[in-house]
Amino acid sequence: MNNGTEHAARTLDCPKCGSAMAPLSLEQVGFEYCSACEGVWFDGTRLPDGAPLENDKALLADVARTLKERQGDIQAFLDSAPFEMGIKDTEGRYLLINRHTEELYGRSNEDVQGKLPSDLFPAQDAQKMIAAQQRTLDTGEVSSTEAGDGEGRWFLATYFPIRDWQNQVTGLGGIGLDVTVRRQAELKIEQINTELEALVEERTQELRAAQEKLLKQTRLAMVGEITATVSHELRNPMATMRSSLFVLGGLVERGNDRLDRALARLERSLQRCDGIIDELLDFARTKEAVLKATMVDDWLSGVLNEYEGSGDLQIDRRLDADGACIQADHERLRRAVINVLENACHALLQQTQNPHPAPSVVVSTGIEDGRLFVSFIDNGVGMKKDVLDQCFEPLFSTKGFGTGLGLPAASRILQQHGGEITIDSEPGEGTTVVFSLPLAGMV
Amino acid sequence: MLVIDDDRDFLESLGDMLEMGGNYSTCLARDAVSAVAMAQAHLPAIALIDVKLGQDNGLELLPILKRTLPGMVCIVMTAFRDEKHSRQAFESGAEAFLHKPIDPNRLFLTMQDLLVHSPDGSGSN
Repeated sequence: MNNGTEHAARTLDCPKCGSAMAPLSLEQVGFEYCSACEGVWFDGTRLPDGAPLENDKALLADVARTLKERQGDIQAFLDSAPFEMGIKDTEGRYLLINRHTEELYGRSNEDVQGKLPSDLFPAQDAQKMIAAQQRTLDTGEVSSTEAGDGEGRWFLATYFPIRDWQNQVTGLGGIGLDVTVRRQAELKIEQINTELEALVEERTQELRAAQEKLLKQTRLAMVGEITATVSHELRNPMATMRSSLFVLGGLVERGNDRLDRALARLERSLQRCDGIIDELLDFARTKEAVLKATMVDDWLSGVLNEYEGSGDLQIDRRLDADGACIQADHERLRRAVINVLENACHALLQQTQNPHPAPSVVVSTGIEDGRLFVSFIDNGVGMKKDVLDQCFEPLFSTKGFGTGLGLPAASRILQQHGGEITIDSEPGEGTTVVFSLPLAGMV
Repeated sequence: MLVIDDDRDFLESLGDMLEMGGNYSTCLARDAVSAVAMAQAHLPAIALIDVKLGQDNGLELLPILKRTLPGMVCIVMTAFRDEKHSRQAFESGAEAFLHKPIDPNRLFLTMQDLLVHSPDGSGSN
């Protein structure tokens, strides 16, 4: 409760003539006598004129005593109540509070008399109290509101009208019940509810993400199955074409340039189809990688030998991870290596620098911070930044032909090995691709 | 030599290729039962076996052929790319494994190499 304004003290001057009045004897119970105009006053009301007779005085004294006793009874009643009680005037100003209220707020009756709720309570709470009071004053009916004192205590304030003998509302009675415990429990429940809602939301998001992941995996698995089946079915007629092409080549008269070129084109086209199917399979493969301990340099040498044997590319090898062992799915990691070498070959063919540098692809291995690094460095045409930024996006390709799945597939394969692939490139300078893989040990 | 594949076009084209490119005499089978019968009848030195043979499985046929003709060299071929097929092929006794579409030169080199190193060193049949 806040400090408010002082309530004006009751005058002891005669309301009629203004002369100073003297309290009547008889225990000074609220009667005053104005000797100037010979009027007797009680609580602002003048009794019938004429000096009081002794009998009247005795009667008045009885009345006053009775009133005093009743007032005392009322005060005792209020003070005995184990909850807040108070009386307010029709403007909502405090006239009286009981002892419980005094003790609760550490304020006396004199402190609060004449004050409004807004003098004593936080603005928002006072507003609620004033609104409830006004409802009671307007309708003559009981009204309630819950408010806080700004210091953690909450109470249910109930207002009722006080009526005089003519049934006129002359003031407000108020009762305040402490609801702090309930309010705190509600706040706690509210807090728990909020936390629960947040938790439910979080779990829902996780569930949704898991569901989406599962759906994606299911779709990928289906795509993988379809791709595997279609690839198999395509490769069988391709096998027929290839052997038939061989037979054709043997049957027709050779030495005809156009015929030779046509046969060579058919052979190259078949190889290209085969490569496309390989890339599709690499990308759509969803089964768990079958990892086995692998001596990197030995295994990589075999893959590079095989690649060199299938084309014209000479690879400069700088294998320096002797004894390094990794967990690898040979077929998949081989595909990742082949995809990167294919890109290097393409970059070398596209090199337009003048003078043309000698085509070079350097493959090196090394160990750093417990990881194995395999680098592929070519001095081909290189990539612009916008191309570099998109090179891991599926279906993005700068080649005249190609699925745009080579690097995305390589990236997925590295992820399946707990590794990653990084790429750096400068237009006209070349490209460096690095595989980083966890080292399983040294032999 | 014995070529086993359920795809008739491929079977015929491969037969022609083998006869033209390597002077191999071929007999062609499209299922497991015919393959075993031909193996018993013609005693081929080499068998080229496809993994997927319609209702039959080339990898299950392989040990049967090996029991029928223990000295016969077996080459398994498939259009699948799963490593498990090549592993199973070698576990079943295959001497070589090739992916379809087969590179003719690679096939001839593989066959020559295997025949040179086969126990009876038999030539074409």
